[in-house]
Amino acid sequence: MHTEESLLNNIDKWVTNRRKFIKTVGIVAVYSQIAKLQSCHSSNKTVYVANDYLTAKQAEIIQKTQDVLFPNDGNGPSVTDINAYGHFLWVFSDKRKKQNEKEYLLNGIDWTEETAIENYQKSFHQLTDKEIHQLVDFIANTNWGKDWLSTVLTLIFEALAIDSIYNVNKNNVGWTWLQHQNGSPRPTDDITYTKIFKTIGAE
Amino acid sequence: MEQNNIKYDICVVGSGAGAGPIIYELSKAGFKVVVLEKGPWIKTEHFSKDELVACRRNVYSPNKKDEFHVIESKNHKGEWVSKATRDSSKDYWNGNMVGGSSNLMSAYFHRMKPVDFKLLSTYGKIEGANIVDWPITYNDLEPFYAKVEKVVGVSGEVRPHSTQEPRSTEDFPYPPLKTNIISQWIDEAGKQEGYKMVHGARGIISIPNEDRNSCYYSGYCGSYGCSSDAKSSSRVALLNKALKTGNCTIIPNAKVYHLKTDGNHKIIEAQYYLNNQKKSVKAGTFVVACQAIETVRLLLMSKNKDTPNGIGNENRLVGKNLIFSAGGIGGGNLYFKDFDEETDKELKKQGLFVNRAIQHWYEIDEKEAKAIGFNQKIKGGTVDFLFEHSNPMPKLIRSKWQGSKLLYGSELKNKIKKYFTEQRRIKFEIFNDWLPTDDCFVTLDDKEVDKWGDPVAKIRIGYHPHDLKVAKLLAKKGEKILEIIGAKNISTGISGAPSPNLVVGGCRFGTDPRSSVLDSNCKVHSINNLYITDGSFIPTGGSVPYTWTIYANSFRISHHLLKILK
Ligand SMILES: Cc1cc2nc3c(=O)[nH]c(=O)nc-3n(C[C@H](O)[C@H](O)[C@H](O)COP(=O)(O)OP(=O)(O)OC[C@H]3O[C@@H](n4cnc5c(N)ncnc54)[C@H](O)[C@@H]3O)c2cc1C
Ligand code: SF4
Repeated sequence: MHTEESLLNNIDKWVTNRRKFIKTVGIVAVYSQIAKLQSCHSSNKTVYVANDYLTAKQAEIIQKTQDVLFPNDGNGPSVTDINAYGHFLWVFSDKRKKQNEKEYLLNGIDWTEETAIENYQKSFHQLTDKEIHQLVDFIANTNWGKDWLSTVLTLIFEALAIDSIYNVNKNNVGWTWLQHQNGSPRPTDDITYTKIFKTIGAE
Repeated sequence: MEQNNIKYDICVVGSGAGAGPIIYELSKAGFKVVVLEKGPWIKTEHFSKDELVACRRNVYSPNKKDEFHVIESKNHKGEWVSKATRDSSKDYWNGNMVGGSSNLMSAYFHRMKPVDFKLLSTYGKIEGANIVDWPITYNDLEPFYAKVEKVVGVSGEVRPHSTQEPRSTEDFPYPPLKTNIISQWIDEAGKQEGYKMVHGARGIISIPNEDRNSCYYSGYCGSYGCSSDAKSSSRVALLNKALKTGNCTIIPNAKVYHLKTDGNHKIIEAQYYLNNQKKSVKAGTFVVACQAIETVRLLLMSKNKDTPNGIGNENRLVGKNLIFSAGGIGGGNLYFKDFDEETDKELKKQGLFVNRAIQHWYEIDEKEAKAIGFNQKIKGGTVDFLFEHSNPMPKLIRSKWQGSKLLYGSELKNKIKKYFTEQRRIKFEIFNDWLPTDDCFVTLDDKEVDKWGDPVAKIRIGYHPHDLKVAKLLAKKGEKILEIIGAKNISTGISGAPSPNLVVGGCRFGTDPRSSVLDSNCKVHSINNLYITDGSFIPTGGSVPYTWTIYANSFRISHHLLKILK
């Protein structure tokens, strides 16, 4: 059976180390910083920018893929409304997260680019919207693609449904859409995931 | 190694449900008690209903990069294969912190019944299972079940039913928690089927007492810490009181790795890591309650020239007969469109409990047993009803799959929206005995080590096929009730995969040292001052969750210790 954890964790088979993992040590990104790493919108065109974790091309691939997985279709929030991309980036700053899990997220982006070149003889960023949809449909039917997209979806779900203190689920837009009643008390700054270890003396 | 020069009367390793009663009773009686707990001290104000912290990133358990287990399970060819939980989705930690996993339990509380203490003499042998009678009876434990109700805090109401266990007190000290309208429907459905539903008790206080607030129906109980101290965790109900005596010292982040013996059947020192430094503490009596798997690991790691196989392991029994709780989970959807508006309003009310259980088939009579292939009456179990947990992530994650197909796009969003807004899922959990077998045990892994370089526990998780047959029969009873109350898409998953949070055994108690690790007072047979008071002592069981029994037995051992130490 597929479970979220198994898809995040059971990735040994994908860890091929084709790329050197970038900047893994000493990165302490907080959510507000992550917010600044996101794409800039100028007039109608979105400019995808490189950041500590992704090249501009990688940033474009993941954001456009997220948009296909969880589209802005008028039913509930979009990935932008929930800051799904910011959350994706934040995962890389998590010191407790295993290195191979982070690599897996990056590998999937690169495999998507490879598949674009194989299928369309052009880079992902040159694909039309229609071709991007076709590409996602294609990779969702491959073994690696199904697992990777599923992992990306899980991170989108986190952005949709965890507390907005993490700069996701903005204005509780995800909870409102799902008519979800949150638990109480909600986390305060000192007991969020990034700070709780220090607060409880476990660091 | 830095030695603590104070010699304590009692040193307790672990601070969860198995440790709490000892710490409380002995501190109260004036003994100097030191508690070594591997996890941090998380206070009530540090808990929130943050799903990222509690569930998604497992903050309350060690990081599996540093500390993990090795699980041995059968592959499709029937061969045993090992995999470290570091590299899989499995997690056999349940909550490492002051108060242990009792901080995180859902607190479904059931007593065991008289028959649980004498399975062998009641039902006879089962091929391939190591069934025994307990060296004590229900009557020996009953006063301590009653004590837990009062001291630790259990709410409920006695409503006689076909398998009601005997009680020394008339009713629960805390009245039942408020329930959702669905509980009435379940009661009615039971009546229709010709039996009475059990009104389930909870280790949660429904009215405040002098130190604790009552439950505020947060709807986020299991896996979360309680912000009102209503949940009867060891930390809140027992350790906080022990601290007030001035006789109790709790050392958090202290991971015990070795118990030193004096070569003369006594433990003299507990050795532990604190901030990566080696330390030790001396005491007259030692109590270990690290939860079954880690307790076994500590005993096996405490090898030296006097105890070359590990402590208490002269007969190679330490780690054997580990048991979980067998069963599975079923459920169905109650669609709001099937009920009127008023009813929907009631059904949607969050936070209210279900607290209903079937125990009518705690024993399965000959006729029903024959229908599933047995030739005599057999032990059955419990079916506990509950609503699907409130946290959204598991529901979201499940919704992305349609069989093995990954859903995404508008189709997925539609499915999610409908699931969250058009129905409420009612579930049941089945608890039946996990028969002890030679295929379920704990050893030390010979290769994998934790961050301190100590061998990790290796757990073989084989089960007896008998368990699945019983679970399937119980599932039918649960499904029938769901059908009557109007649930749709009813299904049950029964499997031999264990629930790591319901684990006991591994140091079974008994009267004969050749077949048990502990004596009937849970003292290690071969060591004069070492007691094991978590669920490790339990030789058979599992038709109810274990915590009430663990608490009660720990009170029983406290009683014994108070007698011999005074
Ligand atoms: C999510 C969840 C839901 C549950 N729901 C229920 C329920 O509804 N009903 C029920 O009856 N039970 C339930 N349980 C189970 C219940 O929590 C346990 O049965 C109970 O806490 C076991 O008590 P224990 O003392 O054996 O272990 P714990 O309470 O876990 O305590 C063991 C302690 O030992 C510490 N420790 C381990 N190794 C070492 C070491 N080497 N040195 C120092 N300290 C160490 C651990 O950190 C831990 O704090 C649930 C558990 C979980 C996690
Ligand atoms: S308030 Fe009640 S439901 Fe919430 S965690 Fe505490 S005991 Fe559980």
